[in-house]
Amino acid sequence: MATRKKSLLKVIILGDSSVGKTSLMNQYVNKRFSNQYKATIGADFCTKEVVVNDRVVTMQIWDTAGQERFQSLGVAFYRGADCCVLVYDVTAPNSFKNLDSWRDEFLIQASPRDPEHFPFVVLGNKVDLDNRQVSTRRAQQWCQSKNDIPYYETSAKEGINVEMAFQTIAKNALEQEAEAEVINDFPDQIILNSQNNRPGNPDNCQC
Amino acid sequence: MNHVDEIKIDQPALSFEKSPESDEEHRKRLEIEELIAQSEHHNIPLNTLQKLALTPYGLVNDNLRRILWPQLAGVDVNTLERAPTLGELQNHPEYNQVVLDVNRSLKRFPPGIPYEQRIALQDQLTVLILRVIKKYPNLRYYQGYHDVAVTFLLVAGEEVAYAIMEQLSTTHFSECMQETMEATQRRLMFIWPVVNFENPELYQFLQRSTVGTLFALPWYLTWFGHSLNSYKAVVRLYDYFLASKMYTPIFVTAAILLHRSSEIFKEDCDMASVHCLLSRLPEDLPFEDLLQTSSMLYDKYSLTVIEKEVEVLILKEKEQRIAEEKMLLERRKKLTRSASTNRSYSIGHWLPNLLKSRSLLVTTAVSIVVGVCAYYYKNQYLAPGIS
Repeated sequence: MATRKKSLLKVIILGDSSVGKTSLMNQYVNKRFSNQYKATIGADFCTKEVVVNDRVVTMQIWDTAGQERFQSLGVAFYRGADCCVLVYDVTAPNSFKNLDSWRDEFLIQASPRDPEHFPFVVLGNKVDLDNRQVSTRRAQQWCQSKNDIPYYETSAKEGINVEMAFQTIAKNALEQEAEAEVINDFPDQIILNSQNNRPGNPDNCQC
Repeated sequence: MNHVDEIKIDQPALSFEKSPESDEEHRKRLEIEELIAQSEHHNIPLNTLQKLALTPYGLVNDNLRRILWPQLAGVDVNTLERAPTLGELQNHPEYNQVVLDVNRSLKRFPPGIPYEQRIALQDQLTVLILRVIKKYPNLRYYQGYHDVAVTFLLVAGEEVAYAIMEQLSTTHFSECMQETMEATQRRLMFIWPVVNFENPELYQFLQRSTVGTLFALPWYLTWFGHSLNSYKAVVRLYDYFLASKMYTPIFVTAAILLHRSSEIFKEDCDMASVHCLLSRLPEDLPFEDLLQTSSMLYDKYSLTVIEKEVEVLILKEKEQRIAEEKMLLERRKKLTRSASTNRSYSIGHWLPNLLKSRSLLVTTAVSIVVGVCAYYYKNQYLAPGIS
């Protein structure tokens, strides 16, 4: 099988400042939540080994800065992405409105081969809070209008739906990656064996 | 220490320092206190002050920093303006972003600080930042600016910190505060010629990994305040940077890379692995040595020479990018072509030939011959049997 070769999935998390991108990543990778996270400057990433369709793959999750002025720095790591996670805060309507521009920006900068079918996943985060402002229906409608993007409502704080959302992210990333591999789109970037650089601990996160 | 206590401060001193003073630190503190005692209005000549800040242990402790940082930054503590209230600044377009970041700066405050005091300081931090960007509308707030401001706020208090931030925002950080991060991105590339001059092998390795300069971005934007866990190391670096020329963090970054070279060589040579290694600063970095290396590098290489090298590098990267894009485009074109050829092979491949007059003639001729043969064959061999 051609898809055996590469076992690294590259996932990019985008969204406004303070919607919980770093917290979601840390909840998924380390099963931890802290209200002491710092604002992310530039970008950082974590890796996690996951089993998808009976295959062990390493997911490399890139966490990005939410402030707009950092977007131009993204080109280098947007390239070769296998899935893009768009996050908004259900208590902050603006962060929902900005999903459009985050999606567009990603497609421009990453320029995937087939933008129409590139896998996105949308997460409505902070559902543990009382002052919800964006309804599920509204978010679902938006996702449907964008080629049926899978949608999850999460709480990084309580760990709600985080595991399930990332399973979907991994699955969709793997499908995208398999397709990209058959087509041999980025042959120069395929040989990545970084999953072995932290012996004994495949899941690591520097945040 | 009477002369130190005389200085008016806005709030009680916060100290994270737990380690006892070493002999060298003790000696340096006495030296500085002596100089302050001898000087008029606590003003140490700038040259002497800069030398104290650059040499090992810097200004030693926060009591001394409270007096000497304003002098180092060129701020007159006798002409400070009163801070506006938070309410007066709430309409600023950057207000929300600043508040979001200030709220996430808990780690920068001393552990165990009383809740009320922390909230008050965080409000002061928000005011301080908004005051600067309100006064200079051409300067834009960036995430990380709050990490710089909080360092000065905790040491020097609201008013002095504002004056220092105003000064730094129009000098050291003005490039980072431009509309986009392009200039900063370009500035960070100054790391490469320095590393290349000092350790070409390391430079080649890092280039091959395509790691870029993203790992150093928070260091540069916050004078390492965002990335170091040790408060003591942060304020020590701030002594150094306040006494240094602009772009000095570039040379400290280069010094760190050179210092970690053997560790870097052991890493897999790809972007993710190398970024991961570099962006995490080891707890035990020998900063005093690194700062001496940085000063040495700064004196050794002129910014003009470095800049020329960077221009060449940028050009090379651009050419490579264009080549890569071209290759990708061609690969996609080839792919589309072969896909479409596969699909219409039976018709598309034969039709043009069939339609050519010569091939049409040949085809017709062959058909007639086959027809005649068939007729002959049928009559000759099959007819008797059928009838």
